Formats: sequence, structure tokens, C-alpha cells
Amino acid sequence: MFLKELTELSGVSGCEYEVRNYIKDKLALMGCDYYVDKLGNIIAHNKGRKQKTIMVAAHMDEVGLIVSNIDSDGFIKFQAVGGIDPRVLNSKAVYVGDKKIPGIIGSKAIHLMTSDEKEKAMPLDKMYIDIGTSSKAETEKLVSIGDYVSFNSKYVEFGNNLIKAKALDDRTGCSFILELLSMKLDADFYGVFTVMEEVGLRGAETAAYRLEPDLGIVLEGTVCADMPEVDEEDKSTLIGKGAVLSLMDNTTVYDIDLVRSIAKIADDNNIMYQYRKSSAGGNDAGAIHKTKSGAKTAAISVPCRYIHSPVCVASKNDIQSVLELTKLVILENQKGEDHV
Amino acid sequence: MLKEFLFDVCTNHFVSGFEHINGQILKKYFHPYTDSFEKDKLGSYIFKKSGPGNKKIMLAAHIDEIGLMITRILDGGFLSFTTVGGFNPATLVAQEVTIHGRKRVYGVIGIKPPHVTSEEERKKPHKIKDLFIDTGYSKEELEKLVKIGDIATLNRDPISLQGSLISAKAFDDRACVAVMLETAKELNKISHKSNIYFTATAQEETGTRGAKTSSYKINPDIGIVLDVGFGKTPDMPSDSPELGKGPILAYGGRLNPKLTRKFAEVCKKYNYPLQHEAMPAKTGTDTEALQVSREGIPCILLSIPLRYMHTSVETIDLYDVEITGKAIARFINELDNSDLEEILCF
Repeated sequence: MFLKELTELSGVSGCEYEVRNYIKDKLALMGCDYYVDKLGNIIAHNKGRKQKTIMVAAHMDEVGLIVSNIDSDGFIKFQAVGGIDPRVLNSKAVYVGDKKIPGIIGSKAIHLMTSDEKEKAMPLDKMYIDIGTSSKAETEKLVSIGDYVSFNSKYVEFGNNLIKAKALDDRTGCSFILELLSMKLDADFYGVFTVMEEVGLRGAETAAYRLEPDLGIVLEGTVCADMPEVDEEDKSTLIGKGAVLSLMDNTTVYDIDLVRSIAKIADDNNIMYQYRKSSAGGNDAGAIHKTKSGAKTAAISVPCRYIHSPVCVASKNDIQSVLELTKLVILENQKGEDHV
Repeated sequence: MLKEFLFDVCTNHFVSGFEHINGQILKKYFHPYTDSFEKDKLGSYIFKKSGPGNKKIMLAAHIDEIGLMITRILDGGFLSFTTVGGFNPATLVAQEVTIHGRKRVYGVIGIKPPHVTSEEERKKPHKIKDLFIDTGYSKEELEKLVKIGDIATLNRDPISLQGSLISAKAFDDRACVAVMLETAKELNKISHKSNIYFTATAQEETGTRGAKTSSYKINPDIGIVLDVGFGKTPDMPSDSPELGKGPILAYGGRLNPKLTRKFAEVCKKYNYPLQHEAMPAKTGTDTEALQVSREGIPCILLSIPLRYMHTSVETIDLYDVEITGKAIARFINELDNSDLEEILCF
């Protein structure tokens, strides 16, 4: 119920204000204790029966762009924040800065392109944002170097229970934590909304240091490339096939006993799940599991096609599976039975 | 009014060969300013504003736009497609589309995420055959909704940028259909003797075909062809025509030199801004067909400067549209008060 609104907020890494304010409002409404740490993470506490310290984390930030220069005619140059394939930026609508100035990233008319230009993908440094101004001075009244730029992409439901939005990585995770907190479970856990995951897991590192969890659970939107003509090993996950359990990625080798215990909970409760069949990418687990003397950490994710683009796609069925499974994992771990 | 018209007409589709589907929108806007309506057999829309004289002036702006056509229905609810008109495949990546099937079906054209894409791959632009529309349905469900040959168009809500700049798909050439609307409106205020034919031509993008058939049907004395031209962006020569500085008047072998000069004179006389462009031979517009229709039609060509042509974010300045519409009305009035035979005589 939070996801539509969450995806339509801007929160490029380092500029998570809109998302943070939205979440703070929701936490206040549900009467949940929280505080914001020095980097801007929100740490919310669900008090309940407690055997161990559980940190459930999702990142508020999304990939996007940052203004790097304004040229003499008022066009805006930019750099990428987080991992973006420049090819997804061609012919897109964006919002620039806090005032959300509408802008577009165009493309040279095909009629004017040389055969050489047609054979090369347009590199980032050849792109620019057009906000409709005609001089540097005019643009500078509205935009400054350092302003963040986010995609203009609405939340859409389509096909068989699918959704399309920007920033499903990781507003799905943020919506899960809000849902979990609103359930008022009799199981103690910290819901942590982290900053700057996309630029190197910065927020998760400091939040984990503070909480020193016994168990970390990272909730994510993850790579899914189950499209035609993609090599089997690159597909990673399949949409509609349930919650994704990570085994290994660029940042973490997940504790295998923990992963298996989560799989067993899914099996026992008929929750659809799958293993992530790629070691590419990473997430906040990479920071959390290395905190202090270490913390066992799992990642439970929603498969997201076209992740890190303006048109991420996910299944509402998978979303439900992740939420249900995470809830049971928390409850199970605070029962006092040793699953960790 | 022009902006409302453009936003309305650009959120509906007129893909080449499928111009008949949304014609009621054009009729709604043109009927208040014109006297009669007819179509040619290819689907061009001809709105006539009658005058007391017997001369016929044809304005031509193409209503059609480039689009996609479904070629295959694949497992997992994906669709392959080909293009109708000239698309740069790079502009289709990460776009949202509507397939105009038995009902409107939403889809996205996504690509593999960067996590599983090599540096080498990222340097290569996609080809049409590498791209698929994801509909989120199963193949079986999709086969009930979509047929091979159905048309798909890009989704883009028109955007108001700073000043009077606006961005949308299909301003090529709806910007000029809007110019005709402005001229029609203006001719209610300025008198005209000639009969004016506002023609929204079909199938320009696939080879200026509607211009050929509609001009045959109308058999005008002169033609005023309206299309979009390349507006200056950072990747173009510094002397390129710019947005907000009026229409671009073309000079060249496919255009009538005296009529062209006459238009420039009228603009000068009434202080309308004008930009100039040499087009020695091919213009890539409806002029190609119009000039050689029947025994020949003397033509002029005006272009509205437009950035990012053939993308979903084509950008124009509304000021150029308005000023061009007004200048044409004044041009018609001046022609009606001149000896047209003398102007056209070699």
C-alpha cells in the first residue's frame, strides 16, 4: 500500500529527503519509535518478544543523475549516480533538483547521425538535459551544479499482476519494512531505512555499527533478466517465481545455514521462493555482515526486470511472497528456537 | 488553444497507414474554422475554408507519425516488432508503449540490467531485433489481445518546459497541423478570396504518399508545405536554425523561387521573424510529392524548428507555431490582393 507513493518520490543517493520525510510521517502515524542517525538513516524500533537483535534493512536511495555543468546555451551536463547503463537514458523525461524542474534527455535526430554515430551507443558525456531555457543565466536561475536528477516515471499496474515503476530497487524494501512495522508483531526488530546503498553501502555500515545485530535481513529488489535471448546464467531470477534468496554476490557470501533455515520456513509455509543464480551485484548485506565482529545476514528480494532503469518491472505475487516470508522469519527468530 | 490541441492530438496516435482511427480529434478542432470536410482515399484529412474567389491554396502538414508494428508473439508475453518510419532503435530502450490491439495493452521495452551487461556490450547500440515489448501476460493470453500487424506507439505525456517550449512525441508533424489550425483561426479575422484547403496528409513518413493523392484531389494553384526542421542543439553546427526565432523558409530546386521570395517579403513587411535554409534538392517533406502532382504545383516550404526529431521527446517552441500560423494567414491575404499569375509566371 506504500509502494506506489514511495516509487514516485525522488531519492537519488545522498538526496533521500523526500523518501525519508515520507517514511518519518508514516512512522509517526503508526506511533513507531524511530530516530535518524548522522548519515540520514532512519532506525525504527518494533518492540516485542526478543531473543536477539534483528536488523531488517532496505535502502531509500535510487540510482539517478547529478548535474555536473551548465553549458553556454543553458543545456545541463550530468554524471550518473549509481550503476546506470547510459543506453536507458536516451529520449527520457526527468526532474531536475528539489523544485523538480521538468527536463528531457534527447537524442540527435536519426537523419543527422553519421554511420559511425549509429554504430556506437551514445556515451554519457555526450548527453545533456534540456529544460527549455535558452541561456546559461536562465538555467542557473533554476538549476545548480550538484542538483540531483531523477527519472520521470509513474507507477503502473499491467499484465498479470505486474507493476512498472522507477526505483523498485529498493522502494519495494522500504514498503516491506513499513508494512512489517504496521503489523505490530510481538517480535522485536529494528526496521532500518538506509541511505547511499547505490554508491557503496554507506548508510548500512553505520547503522549496523550502531545496532550490532545478531541477525541482519536485507530486503531488496534484485536483478532479473528473464527476457528472450538472454543467456541462462545471466537471467539470475525469474519473475513470478517467488521470493529470492541470495547465496553469494559481489559483496557477501551468505551464511548457508541461515539461508537454508529461511528456505525451510518458506517450504513449511508454502511460500514460493527461488535462489538467486548469479553472483553479480551486491547489497547492504555486504556492509551489515562485516560490522564489528560480524553478523549473520540474509537477503530476501523481489525479482525486478530492467532494474536501474526508469521502467523497473516486478510481480505483486513476488512482493507478497517476500513480505510473508520475512514476517515469518522474524517471528521464528524471536521465538527462541535457534535458527541462526 | 494551440497547446491544448497539440497535447490532445499527440497523446493519440496516427501511425502511418492508421490515420483513420483518431480522426474525430482533428474534426473537433478544425470544424469551427472551416466550411467543409473530405478525405482522399489514402486517409488524408482535407478541411476547406471557402472564399469568394476561384483560386485554390493547399496547406499540407502530415498527420502521420512513426510507430511500431508487431511481428511476433513470443513465450512469456514478449513481442517482437518492426518500425513504421525511421526510428533510431537507441531511442526505444526503456520506453513504455501501448499496443493498439483488441484493447489497449501496456508494455515496456526493457534491457538487461548493468549488473549482467559487460562494458563491451554497453558500447553497442541495440538493434530493433534485440528489443522486445514486455506485456506481462502469458503468450496464450496475449494471443487473444494482440495480432501480428497491430500497431504500437510510445507513451509520453506531453511536457511543458520553461518558457513556451513543449516536448512530446509526434510534434513531427503535428506542430504544423497546429500551424494550419492557427492559420484557419486567423483567416476568420483577415479576409481571404482564395479557397483554402487545410490538409493533414497521410503517410508522409513512409514516402509522402498522402500528399500525392490529396493534392491530386484538390488540384490547387499553389501549395504551402509545412514540416518540422532540425532545431539547434549542442551537437549541431552553431549556425543551425534555433527554436523561438520563427519558421525556417526553404530555398531550392523543389520550391518556387518567386513565391518563396514573396513569403519572405510579407514576413518582413509585417515584422514576422523568419529563418532561412538552403535546400538544393531533396527536402524530405511532402513537397517531394506536391511539386510534381498533376501538371505541377508551385510550392513553398516552411519548417518549424524542432529538437530531437523522431524521438518521444521532440521539442518545439509554441511561439514558432503561433507566429507561423499568423504569417501564413497574412501571406494568403497578400497573395489574394496580388496578381498571382504574375508571381507564378517565369
